[in-house]
Amino acid sequence: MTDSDDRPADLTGLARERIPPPHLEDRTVAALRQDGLLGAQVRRPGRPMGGWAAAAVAAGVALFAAGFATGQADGARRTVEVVEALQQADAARTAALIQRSGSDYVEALASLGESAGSADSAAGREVARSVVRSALTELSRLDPDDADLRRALAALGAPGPAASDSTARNARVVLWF
Amino acid sequence: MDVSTDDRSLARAVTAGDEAAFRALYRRHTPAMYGLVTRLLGEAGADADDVIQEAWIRAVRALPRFEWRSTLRTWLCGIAVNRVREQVRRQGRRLDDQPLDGHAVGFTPRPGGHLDLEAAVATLPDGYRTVLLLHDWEGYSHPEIARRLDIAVGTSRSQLFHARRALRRLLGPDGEAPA
Repeated sequence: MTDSDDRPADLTGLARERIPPPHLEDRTVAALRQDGLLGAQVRRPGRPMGGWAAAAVAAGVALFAAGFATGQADGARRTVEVVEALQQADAARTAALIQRSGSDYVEALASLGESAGSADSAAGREVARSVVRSALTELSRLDPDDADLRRALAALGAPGPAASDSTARNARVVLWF
Repeated sequence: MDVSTDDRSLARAVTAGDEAAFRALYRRHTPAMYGLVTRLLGEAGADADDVIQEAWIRAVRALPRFEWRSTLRTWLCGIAVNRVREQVRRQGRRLDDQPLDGHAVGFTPRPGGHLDLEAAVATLPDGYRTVLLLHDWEGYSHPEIARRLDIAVGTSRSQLFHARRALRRLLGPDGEAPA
């Protein structure tokens, strides 16, 4: 061993960047398009999503969060997917769908902020609160001992988890426009 | 415009599916990713295109969850490093190999001549080269390298020690690349 073996190698002579082959950009874009990661309709900055659209997304999530209402085959496609996943006991797929639905919900709320003051916005906020209450209620059914969930429900003025499953199912509300 | 802020704007647009924004991010950051990936892959550099493409696909998928605790470039290069590790393993090569006595296996310096730095680094065994580049060039710590490459911290230290020694031998008695 020599002292120099403990010193960092001087690699400053290596250029940080290399130019990739020109075709790689188009190839990568094509792969992203194929995977559905590029090419979706883009919402331009400063051009808020219409209140109706935000409300529709929120309502789709509400349908899911509020109760997995079977028989709503013409409702949100994602809700149907969630129900199917649950029926198939596919927990991983269900979790993924919940994540996607949740992302849509948050994006819809951001859009509501851009249309603040309109009648649609007020309706959207009310729907959003209802969704949160319903989602919290569902979560508290999954984990009845979670004190944080109970406190959150109380803060939103929602009742705690129902005493029995049959009562609980009756208490689920489907929100739709 | 602040570069990191601009990265954020572009990243938001990419998340919404904006192809033009993606191309802007790609052109800004891919040369650094490509430089790192081609060197990490060494002789297998022909696979760099696949690694870069897959790294971008993973990055775009994960972009909504990126928390901006590092620069976007650092994050992208980290994803690329992960892809390199997977590619190397897929080819049956190892990053925790320990060639005897730290010699660069399979290489004999030209009589009386030095390799330039680029060629010398490329000649190092996979494990040596990877740890050397990540530590002495990219600034990763040994625990970070161990986590990225799924090797022991001690292995990372050992690889670095041997890599530095092998590199200095390749570069000549002064341990420096010729001017």
